[in-house]
Amino acid sequence: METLQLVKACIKNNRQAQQTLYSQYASNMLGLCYRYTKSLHDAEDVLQEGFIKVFKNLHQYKSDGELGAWIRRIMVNTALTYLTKHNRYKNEMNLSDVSLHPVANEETELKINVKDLVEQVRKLPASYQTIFNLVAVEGYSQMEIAEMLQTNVNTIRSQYSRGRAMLIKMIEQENIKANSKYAK
Amino acid sequence: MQNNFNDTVNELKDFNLNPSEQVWKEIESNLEEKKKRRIVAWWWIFPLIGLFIIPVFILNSNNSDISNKKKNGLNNIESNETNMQSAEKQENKTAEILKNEQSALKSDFSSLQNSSARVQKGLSSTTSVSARMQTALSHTQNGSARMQKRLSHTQSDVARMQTALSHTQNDSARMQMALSHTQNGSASVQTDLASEIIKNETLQNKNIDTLKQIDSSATKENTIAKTIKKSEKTVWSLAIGGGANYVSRNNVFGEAKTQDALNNNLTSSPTATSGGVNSSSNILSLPKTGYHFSLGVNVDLKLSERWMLQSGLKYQYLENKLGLQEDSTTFFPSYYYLSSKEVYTNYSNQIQVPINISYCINPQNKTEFSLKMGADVSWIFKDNWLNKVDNVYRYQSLIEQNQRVLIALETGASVNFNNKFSLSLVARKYLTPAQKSSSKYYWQQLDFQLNIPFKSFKK
Repeated sequence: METLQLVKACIKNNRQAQQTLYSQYASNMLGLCYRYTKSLHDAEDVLQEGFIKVFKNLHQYKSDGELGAWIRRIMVNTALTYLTKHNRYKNEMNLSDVSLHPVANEETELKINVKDLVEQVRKLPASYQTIFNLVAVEGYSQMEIAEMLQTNVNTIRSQYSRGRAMLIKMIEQENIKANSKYAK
Repeated sequence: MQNNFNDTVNELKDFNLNPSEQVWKEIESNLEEKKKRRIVAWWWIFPLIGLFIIPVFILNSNNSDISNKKKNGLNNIESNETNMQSAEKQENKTAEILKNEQSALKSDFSSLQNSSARVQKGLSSTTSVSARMQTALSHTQNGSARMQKRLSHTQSDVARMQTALSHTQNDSARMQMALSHTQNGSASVQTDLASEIIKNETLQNKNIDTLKQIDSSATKENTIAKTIKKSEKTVWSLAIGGGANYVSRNNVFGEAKTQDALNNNLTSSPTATSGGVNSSSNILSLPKTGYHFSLGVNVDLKLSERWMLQSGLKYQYLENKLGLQEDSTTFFPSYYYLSSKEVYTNYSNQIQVPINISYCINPQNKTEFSLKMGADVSWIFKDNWLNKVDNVYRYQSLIEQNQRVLIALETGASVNFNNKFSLSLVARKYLTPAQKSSSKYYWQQLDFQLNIPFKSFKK
């Protein structure tokens, strides 16, 4: 079934089509949600809320864009709403207007696989984690992110570079631990 | 597989995780719920519409049933009439056809007779005639059968008409009954109404009487209220007073002449310097006190809750004892002055009009305290400035010039005991002297007064 036909069927509330669309994008979207949250359960909550929004607003989708990107954008927005709504993220997401001095991004020769990187990203404080995901993975501009999180660009810039630096440091420490294990 | 940090970051976008089945189930149940909600949201409209439509339909059907029946009855009668008319027409036609047929038969028969006569003329013509006869006969038979059919139809129509007519008659009978019931009902209602009207009229009359009574009592009440208000505003009372006098100056002197002097008509006044008394000789000593009492009418005019204007008309008797002594400083030796100390009683009868304004400190209380101040105007109508004692006339030298009208200022306080009576204490100072001579004579008084309102006597 073509994407456009699938979308039309979903708008008509065809359950079969809705399930098809869900199964096409669910795993990739759960991966996205997982990167923004601290637990799989939270990620599945975000995924569920996100897909309900998708089916509810599917009539607004314009066929000229890619459906995956549209769904992705909804998922990111849902994840951000979820983070600001829930107490366990709320405190960490409190982005102060006072911008910290950004840390210089160093080119690194670190080796890491995707799964480990995801886990390390999830260990970052929620604000660093979110901004890292938005900047490095989703490719939003810092201006866009500042608008999304209702803060200023300098805060985003400094938080991103600090988060990235922290992430690199954490990966380095993990690598050192692993190397010492092998050495033993 | 391990890659460079930056490459791995780029691969994060494609990081996948398989969700549990529960996620889809929950999404599905959520979507179902919305669908159901939508259906429920629309389904309530139909019962609502039904609720509105059914009563309207029932009402319409009830109303239209009778009219439809009537209409149908009338239509049936009309259609029956038209059917009857058409059946009559058809009967006439059939009769005409029959007549024609009969006449044709007759002509045929005659022609048959002619032909039988002319049998011999030709068998073929005979057979043709008989054949025509047969066809005519069959036509006649058909016509009579159709006639019979139409007749039966007409009969059934007539029967239906009769039943419809009977229905209509029943309806009209029922209608007449209903009409008679309604007339009876309206008659009873009219009688009830008439009795009610009579009752209402009697009630209205009673009400009018009661209203008149109320009006008259109200006017009475108003007049009473006005009277009470007026009486409350103005209080007339009996004023009884009394107190002590004090003479402010001591240079009042008495002038005495002997009989000889009087006989010699020595009218010129000794004109005692400094009032006839030489104060330096220090021989004159006068008692200064006296008493007075008064009786009259007092009127209180209430200006507001606290302020009151008080006036009245009083008679006052005033007596003062004055001591006279010999004055050796006079320049008229022919006059004999009193050789020894002598008491001279001076009295005066006055008519007084006081005018006071009073301020109540604690209004609306059983015992009201007031402060007051004002003035008194007194007219002396009788006094004793000329007396004869022991053949010696003593008189005031300028008696003709004595003041007859005196003005005094007064101030004081009063206590009103539950509007039953009031007591006041007033200090009064005369501004005008009792005489115009150089030896001026001023009174000062301390006056107690008891006021008893006249309405208290009535009670």
